[in-house]
Amino acid sequence: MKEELIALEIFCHHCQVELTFVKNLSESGLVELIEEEEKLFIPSYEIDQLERLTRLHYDIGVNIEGLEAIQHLLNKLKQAREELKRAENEIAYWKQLAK
Amino acid sequence: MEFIDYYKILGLSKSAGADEIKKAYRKLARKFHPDLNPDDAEAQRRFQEINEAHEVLSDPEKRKKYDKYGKDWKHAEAYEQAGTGAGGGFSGFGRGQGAEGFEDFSEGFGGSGFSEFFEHLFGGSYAGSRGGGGGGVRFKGQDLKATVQLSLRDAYTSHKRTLDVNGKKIRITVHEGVEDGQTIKIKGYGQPGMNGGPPGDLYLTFQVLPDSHFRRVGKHLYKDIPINLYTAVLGGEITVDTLDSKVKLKVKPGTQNGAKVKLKGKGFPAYKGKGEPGDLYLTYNVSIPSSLTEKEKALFEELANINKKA
Repeated sequence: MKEELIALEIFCHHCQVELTFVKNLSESGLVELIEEEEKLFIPSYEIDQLERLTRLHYDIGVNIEGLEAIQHLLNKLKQAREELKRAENEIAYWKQLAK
Repeated sequence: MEFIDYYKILGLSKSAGADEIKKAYRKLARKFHPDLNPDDAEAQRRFQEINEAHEVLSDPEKRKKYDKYGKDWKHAEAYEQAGTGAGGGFSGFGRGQGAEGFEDFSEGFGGSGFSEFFEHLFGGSYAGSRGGGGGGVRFKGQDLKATVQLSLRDAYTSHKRTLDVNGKKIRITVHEGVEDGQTIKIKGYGQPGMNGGPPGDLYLTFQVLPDSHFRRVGKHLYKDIPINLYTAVLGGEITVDTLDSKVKLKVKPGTQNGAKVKLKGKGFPAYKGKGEPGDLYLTYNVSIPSSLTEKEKALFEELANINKKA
């Protein structure tokens, strides 16, 4: 839907981010961009991710390759935490039943 | 407030140049950046220190003031103001000028610490533009995560609940039909932002505890119902507790152990009541008498003989 898309140019202007940086992120598969009528848009659900990557790049100088590695490791961390949470819930369940 | 040695925080000597400051900041920020350390409060604290140190040392004017006053910089500045009688620049900190004013002034640093000082001293917030050299970067506060435990009955009906999250009281509505593991986001209730950035969000995950009578699978409920042998064989009427009421049920003659009955709409409500409620599935557990009187034994034997002949 149109209202859920943010024009790339507006985002870049507002956040003072280079257009090529976001395009490079898109080429690396780190954020999704949508093209409509020869204009690029950012889906609203990608904004958090884009802001995170932008901070890492501009604040502490992580390049695109570094961002890819970080994203991969953060995904693994998230997955490991979810598994841990599931295991904790399961233990809590059995403890509750054992009472 | 304790004196904060920004050079020490960044691991620099006092003669460090702008490039060294930038390099040291980036090296430490790569280690403690909140985006790289999700849910790590200690990393966020360290990053805030590093960020503040960088804010001051990367700005020549701020650094000059910091270097000039050294350990006693806050008092020295105040003395200067008191000596000249020009309290205007610090009017925000204390009620008056001169010696009496110092106590209030010091107290002003006790709470939020250094950031508050710089907001007053240098005017305005840190919020700067990206790539603008020493300007601060607005940073959203860390998101918080918390788990709320609910009994199955709590999850069955909408109710209000007051939570204490890091000393802050939050009143939320727990909606009927909430799932085990479901997470809701409460915007703006996370850690405060940095340099004028927005606060983080609070993510609440509901943990619905198991119930000793009902088992929940999605929106359906399952329950085991013990019935005696005679009711199973001859049929009869029983009363069953659902989660919110009691229902009378007719048991068909010849009901087998493990037979299932569905009570439509007596399961779990859909989340926020949007949609059809689930069903309640009852499983009959026929209990066989374990101790028989002589008379009962004789009657069972008679039944067995009739059965053999048939």
